Formats: sequence, C-alpha cells, structure tokens
Amino acid sequence: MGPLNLENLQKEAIAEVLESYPEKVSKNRAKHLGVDSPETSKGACDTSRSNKQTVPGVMSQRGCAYAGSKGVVWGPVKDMIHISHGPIGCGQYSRAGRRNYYIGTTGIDTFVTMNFSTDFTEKDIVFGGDKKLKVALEEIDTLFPLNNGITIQSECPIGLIGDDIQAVAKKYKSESSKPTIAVSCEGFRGVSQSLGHHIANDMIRDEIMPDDSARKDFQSTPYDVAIVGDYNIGGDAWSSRILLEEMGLRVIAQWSGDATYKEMAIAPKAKLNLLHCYRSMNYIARHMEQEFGVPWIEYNFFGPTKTTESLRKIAAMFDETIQAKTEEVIAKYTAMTDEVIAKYRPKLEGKTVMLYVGGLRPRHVIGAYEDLGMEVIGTGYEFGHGDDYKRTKEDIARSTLIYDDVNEYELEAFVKKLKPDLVASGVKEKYVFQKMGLPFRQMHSWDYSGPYHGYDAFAIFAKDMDLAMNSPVWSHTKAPWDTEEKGA
Amino acid sequence: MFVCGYHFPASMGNDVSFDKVIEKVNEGAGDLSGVSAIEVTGETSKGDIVEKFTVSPGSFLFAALADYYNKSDVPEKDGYKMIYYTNKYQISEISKAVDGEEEKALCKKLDDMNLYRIKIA
Ligand code: SF4
Repeated sequence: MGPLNLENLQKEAIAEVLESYPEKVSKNRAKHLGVDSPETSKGACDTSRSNKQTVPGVMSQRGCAYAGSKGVVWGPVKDMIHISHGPIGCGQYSRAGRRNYYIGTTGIDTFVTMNFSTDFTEKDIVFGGDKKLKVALEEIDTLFPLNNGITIQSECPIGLIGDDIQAVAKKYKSESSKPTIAVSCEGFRGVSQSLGHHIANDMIRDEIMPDDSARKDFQSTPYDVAIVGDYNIGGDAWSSRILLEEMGLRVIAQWSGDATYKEMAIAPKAKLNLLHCYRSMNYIARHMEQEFGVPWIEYNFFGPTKTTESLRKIAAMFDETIQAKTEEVIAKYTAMTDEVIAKYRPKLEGKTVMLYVGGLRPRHVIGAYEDLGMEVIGTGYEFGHGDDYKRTKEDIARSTLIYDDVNEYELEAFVKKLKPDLVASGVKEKYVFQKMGLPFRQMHSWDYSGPYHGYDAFAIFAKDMDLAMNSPVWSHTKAPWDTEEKGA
Repeated sequence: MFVCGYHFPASMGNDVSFDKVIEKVNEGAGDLSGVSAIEVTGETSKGDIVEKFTVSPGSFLFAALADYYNKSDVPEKDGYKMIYYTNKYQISEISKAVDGEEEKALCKKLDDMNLYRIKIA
C-alpha cells in the first residue's frame, strides 16, 4: 500500500468510528485520535489529547492506581513484602501476572509471586481495618523474618472508609525498626495506573531515598550505573545488564525487576541513571538528579538498531575505554543479529502491525519490528501523557494511526479497517483478535516468552513473531461456510 | 522434512539424496523456456545492496530459484521476492554439488548472512 493510500485509510477509519458516536462523545474522542508520519510537522503525536478521564461506560483497557503502584513499581521489589490492603480480589487478580523474574527462595528471602492481603470483609469495611492491618504486619514478620521491609498497598475501599494506614505504618516502623511504607494508591485515584506510578515513585522518594544506611559504606567507581524502569519481564533486565557489563560498566542497581531494598537505596551513588520505562519512573529519576546530582538518560533495548544507538548514547557519557569496548560489543552482537535478520526477515518483511500497549512499548518496540522488515501502522498508549506522544514521533517510520486510551470498540473497528497482519497488545485484547482469526502477541508479559531486551533477546522476539504469524493454524480459522462461499 | 519447498516424508529418513530433490524441483518447476535469466540482489540487514548478479538457464541453481519465485507466497517488492534462509541454504548446497564452477562461485556468495532477493526475467 502506498503511503498516501495508507494515510487515507487511517483517516477514514477515524471518521467512521467518530460518526458512530453521539455528538459529545465524538467531539471528545476526536481529540484522542489522529494520524502522524515522520514527514508531518504537527501531527497526532504533537496534538493528541491524553491522560484524561476515560468516557464512562466505554470498555477501557486501563488499569487503576493500585495496579500502577503494586503491580508495576513496588510489586517486583523482591525482598520486601507488599501487602494489598482491602478485599482479596485486587491482590489475587494482580498476583504474578506480570512475570517479573527474580532470583531468591520464594517465601524465605524473596516474595514477589506470593499474595499478601488483609482480606477485608464486611465487618472491616464497617468498623475499619487498621487493627487488622497491624495484626497482619506482625504476622508477616513472624512468618517471614527475612523480609527487608513491608509496603502497604491501598485498594479502593481504604480511601473510602478512611483507614489511616500512614499512622499504622509509622507506628509499626518505630516498633519493628524495619522499613514500613504505606502507599495510598487507592484504585480510584487519577485516571489510570499512571498516577499509581507517580504515587509509588513519591513513596520511594520519601521513604527509601533518605535512608543512607546502605549508601554510607558503599564504594563507588567511575563506571557505576543504575537501570531504572526495567521490570525484568521474562528476564529483560538481566539481558540488558549483560550488555552494560560487557561495555565495562558496573550495574549497581536495577529497578524494580529483581530489585532489593538496598539496591534502591544505593541508586543515588550511580554516576548515571539509565531510564528504560520513562512513564513509570521518570519522577524518581528527576528527583535523583535534583537531590543527588545523578544525571539520567533514556535508552531503548528493543531490536538491534535501537540497542546499538542506545549503547553508543550511553557510552558517550563515559570515557574512551568504555566507548572502544562498546564498539567491540556492538560488532560482536551485530554479527549475531544479522543472522537472525537473515533467517526471519524473508518470512516477515512487509507484514503490518498494530500496537496498543502501555508504558514505553508503544514507541520502543517499533524499531524491533522495523528491523525485521515489518511495518507498524498503528500505535497507542493506555495511559501515556503528552511527553510520551511527543517522543513517539521519533520512532514512527511511516504514516501511523495514533490512538490514545482506545476502547475495545474503536480498536476492533481500526483493525477491521486497516487489516494488519499482527496485533500486538494486552491480554484483554488477545482473544478478541485471535477469534477474528488474526495473529496476536501479548506485549505486556511477552506472551509467556521473552526476554525481549538486548541483542540476544532479539532472536527470541523474531522467533516469536514468526511463530505467531506464520503458524499454519491461521489457515483453519475460517468457518467452513465462509471458506466455501469464496469457492476455495 | 521439506527440502527446497518439497515434502519428503519421514519414511524416507533424514538423509534425502540430492537426486530425489533435483527430480522434484525439475518436475515442479515445469517448462522454464520463457525465463531467460534470474536476477539476484544481496543486501545488508540495513537494506544496502552489496551484491548483484544474474543466473543463466541450464543449471539446478536456475531451476530451483525460478521454481521458488513462482511458488513462494513471499510478497513481491518491485518484482523481487526475498529468499527464505532455509531454501537459500539448501539450494546452494545442492547446486555446489551438481552445477558447474560458475554457479559454485555464486553459491558461495549466497552462503553469507546478507538478504537475497530474486526476480525472473
Ligand atoms: S480499581 Fe480499586 S477495586 Fe479495582 S483493582 Fe483497583 S484498587 Fe482494586
């Protein structure tokens, strides 16, 4: 399809969707939808409205503030126990779904995949759950004495009944002399999980950053860096870390995938903070810059082109020895990724992709697809802000449909119109599209695969995309009457 | 097992003789009298063209590439189709064994990690 045809089709898709809405909704949604391309001067990446309340009643794919704090930022910190305060559902349904890998003995010194909850019942809602929380904290320390701290993650009802979790945490902290951090991340706060990230970052700022007990005796080197905003989904942080170490850098902390309390506390000792997920961790990176003078840069480890660009950008912050080593690393791995491209590009070239994810992926994964010759023709954020959309402009390679907080109806309509070869989105969308007979990859948890960060991981990414798209199963998804009608 | 796109059942074992593959390819390719040459380009993973050569009729390499071009469902780009890595490797191995020196030299090129596209003329 020519670039002009594609752009027209994308504009038509938006017009058709908007036409089906009542006037008020149509006017609102029009601001969240648009088309942009590298050549356009002020396209949808600059003008899209975002981070606004979802229209009540539509099927949004967003999560809540609790999900942003417990599920994303705090949950993966492995040696702390994160107790969900409120009824059991929030904790149970967010348990272990994100595949944050970690090293440790679960239940002894690490606790990521376990579910801790105050398990509210009617009585607690009516009479308050402060006492129950206190008992739970004591129980945790009795049963799991090797934990290095507790965070209390508030669910919706806590904000509604007004439990004073901050006071409980403060009191317990003074009694137990262990970090006890109350995070008021009730699900109804803000418009999406994004506020949960912010609240979680604020608590790291207020509770962990001032603790210099671990930093006091820490021996720094000129090559210390911290990975911030990598949640180690399927081992992502590990596959990033090996590259940085091969370059000659020392990774002193990785947040928050496979992280420990101590690692978070020593991060201000880094010479440079490397920020992968900008959306969920930029707040704390900015804080460390202001408070401790640690600069930060963003990087992108999806696909060889972006990984190479990022490694050079990181190396430029250090001396020539690091830069020379970086070139060696790039040369070594490029030989490998060229083999991956030789194997998979012929099978994937020209295939079109539509993305709809959160955090950094709506822009960061574009390069990895383009390395395989695939064409990303639509992308959008669940909970992005204006600065995310602005950054997306640098990554799009052609006319791209941009959709912010797209609802189920719109996404389905866009996919029907643009007919991509692959939809890459979350688990909530997965079965809708697979039932339509479309190849799909779940890009939140890498569909039980991964890692996808770094050079080695590119081989896994390419294989997964090939398996998803070229599986013979797709030729069997049409009902017999549909197939017969075409005379096939 | 699939060799050059043709199925050889497990009962034939893992070591399918080149003769059997050649027989199937020639049979599958059919009449190629209308094809005067096959143009081949090789490009880096970044898309920079670094090789350009032509394969003339009368060899296994020619028949196999023409057959691949006609049968493969790889999308065409400016008349060219990219060759699958496995097919490229298999065609090259057989051609080196049965074709002449000229083809052998071309096959050595095909063995690198560049991306090859073909067009029939
Ligand atoms: S919105 Fe409230 S009730 Fe729902 S998962 Fe989030 S915290 Fe729990």
